[in-house]
Amino acid sequence: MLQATNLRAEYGSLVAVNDVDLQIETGQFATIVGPSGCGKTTLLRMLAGHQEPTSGTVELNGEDITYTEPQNRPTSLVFQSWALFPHMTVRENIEFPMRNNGIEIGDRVEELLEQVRLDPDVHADKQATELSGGQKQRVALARSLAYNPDILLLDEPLASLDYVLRKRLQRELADLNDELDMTFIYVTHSLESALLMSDKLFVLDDGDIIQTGSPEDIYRQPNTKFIAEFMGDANVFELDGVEQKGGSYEVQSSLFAQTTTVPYHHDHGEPKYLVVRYDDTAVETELTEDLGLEVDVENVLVRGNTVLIECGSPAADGEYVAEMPVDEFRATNIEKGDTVFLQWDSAKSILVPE
Amino acid sequence: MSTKHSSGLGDRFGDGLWYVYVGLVALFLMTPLVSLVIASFYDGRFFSIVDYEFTLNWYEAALTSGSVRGAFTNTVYISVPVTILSTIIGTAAAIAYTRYEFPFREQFKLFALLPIFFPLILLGLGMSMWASQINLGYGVVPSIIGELVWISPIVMFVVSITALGIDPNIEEAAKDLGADTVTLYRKILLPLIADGVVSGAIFAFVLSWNNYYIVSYLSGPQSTITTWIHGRMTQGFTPVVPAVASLIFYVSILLVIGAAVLEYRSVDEGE
Repeated sequence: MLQATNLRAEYGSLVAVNDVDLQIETGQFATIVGPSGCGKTTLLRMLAGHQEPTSGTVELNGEDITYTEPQNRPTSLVFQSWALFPHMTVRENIEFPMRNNGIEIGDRVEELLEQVRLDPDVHADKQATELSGGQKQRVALARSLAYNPDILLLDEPLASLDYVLRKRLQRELADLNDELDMTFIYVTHSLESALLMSDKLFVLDDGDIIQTGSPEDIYRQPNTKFIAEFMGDANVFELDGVEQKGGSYEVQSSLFAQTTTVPYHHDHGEPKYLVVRYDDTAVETELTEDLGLEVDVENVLVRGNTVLIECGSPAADGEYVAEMPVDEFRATNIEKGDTVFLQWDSAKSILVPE
Repeated sequence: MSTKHSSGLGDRFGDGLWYVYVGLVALFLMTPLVSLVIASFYDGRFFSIVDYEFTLNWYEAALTSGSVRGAFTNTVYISVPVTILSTIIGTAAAIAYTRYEFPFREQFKLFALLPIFFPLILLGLGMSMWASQINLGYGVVPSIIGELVWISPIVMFVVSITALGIDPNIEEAAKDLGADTVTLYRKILLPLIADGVVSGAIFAFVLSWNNYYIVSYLSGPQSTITTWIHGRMTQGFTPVVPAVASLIFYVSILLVIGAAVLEYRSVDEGE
């Protein structure tokens, strides 16, 4: 188990990581997700030993490794740029950590290349610079796995790859985590990666961990408006009035055509916003659901098999978006410029505090 | 340039004009060197194109003359240590500047590169005054020290260009994979900057080999090739001068070609 306690990093007066606690079980795939500049790379570098924390501790299986040099730490970092040694072949790159750590080489290079789905006969003796982006990524991974670290740290290594390749490698990373008894800690700003691969998610904003949990839990019940917006394409409505009714809240907004009751199981304070995801909403000429508002259709964008309907509200400055399957939208005969109801089942609403 | 889309007649005329211009510039730049080489093979005391006759006599005279040989020996005694020492100093400075974070890093670069931008004749004068103040004297050793001040920054500059091109995470990756400092330098950093170091060393040798201003102030009674040529030009010209000057030029041009080949090779390798 990896445990960080009160981990803090300051650059002058700037606090990059603010007394963060995190706990990751052995073998877990944990993802630290947050927007650019939230401190996630600094946090990862402290776990890898490339940066000394201003205060706080890092413990691995009970042993304090806060100030252990990276070369003596059982962690391995896969860099965003991969940092392959360009003057070496694929084989030499992978042998490098084995030689440094006195591990017998034998057939290990071939095994590792197969593990990351590269054909050793084709690639082992290529120069590192001859590889494509995806192949470099795989070699960087094999090189990091080569000396059996306890923890593999990944700093957005898929960020610069194209969409299809990224999807495939995400899946392979998750599979690899299942195959090996190794903890993976992945850092990303991409929600898609975070949801797809992780067992456990840490949402980081402005140096603070603002929510921890399984991807599903966080997606279902974000703690704050920021997380709700970050976790997916969602409409956010500010509420004018809330009234607690048992486990639910009766919510009102001057925008809404109705007053409705939404469940809220939360101890983060009174809800201030109602959030509903694009794909939980629809547009209709009549109000048929139990929650909705009148809007003008401003734009219609086809996104594969769904349509994004961008709407403006005459009553507020807000921009709202509904996402519907193409066929359903066509059946409504709604066009740009129409005044319609953006609506949803109120049970799909998510209430969040500030 | 109009060479990319040369289809019309006007464009072709433009291209032609462009090549003529480039040719004239090249001719203008090369004429002095070429005339020097032509003159070095001319059989006669005063050079004339009209009745040119070829000879190797002046080269023979140059290679057998005691004073020329002495000047060559002194130049080698200065250039070789300068090359070795400035390559070490310049490479270390380049690694510090490009691969480490430290306070006043940019100021360090400006300060280190300052001697390059200082007029050489004034640099030499300052060194000469200082050398007598600290009783360093004049000769081969003071010349070596003086040239190091000017050439080490140039080596730093050349090596920095290569070192800046290396992935900034490479050292951390190496450490992460268990490398200690010795392994990091021996297996990763030095091999990656090797081409830059060799280019830097060639630059250092060529600049030291051709240097006049610093040695003219610091070499004292010891003449080097450049001070020997200058002496001959001012007190009794002989046709041996073009031959000696051409010899310096041959050595320089060979090394410059060597440096260019290295440069192209590292560009070809991509990274």
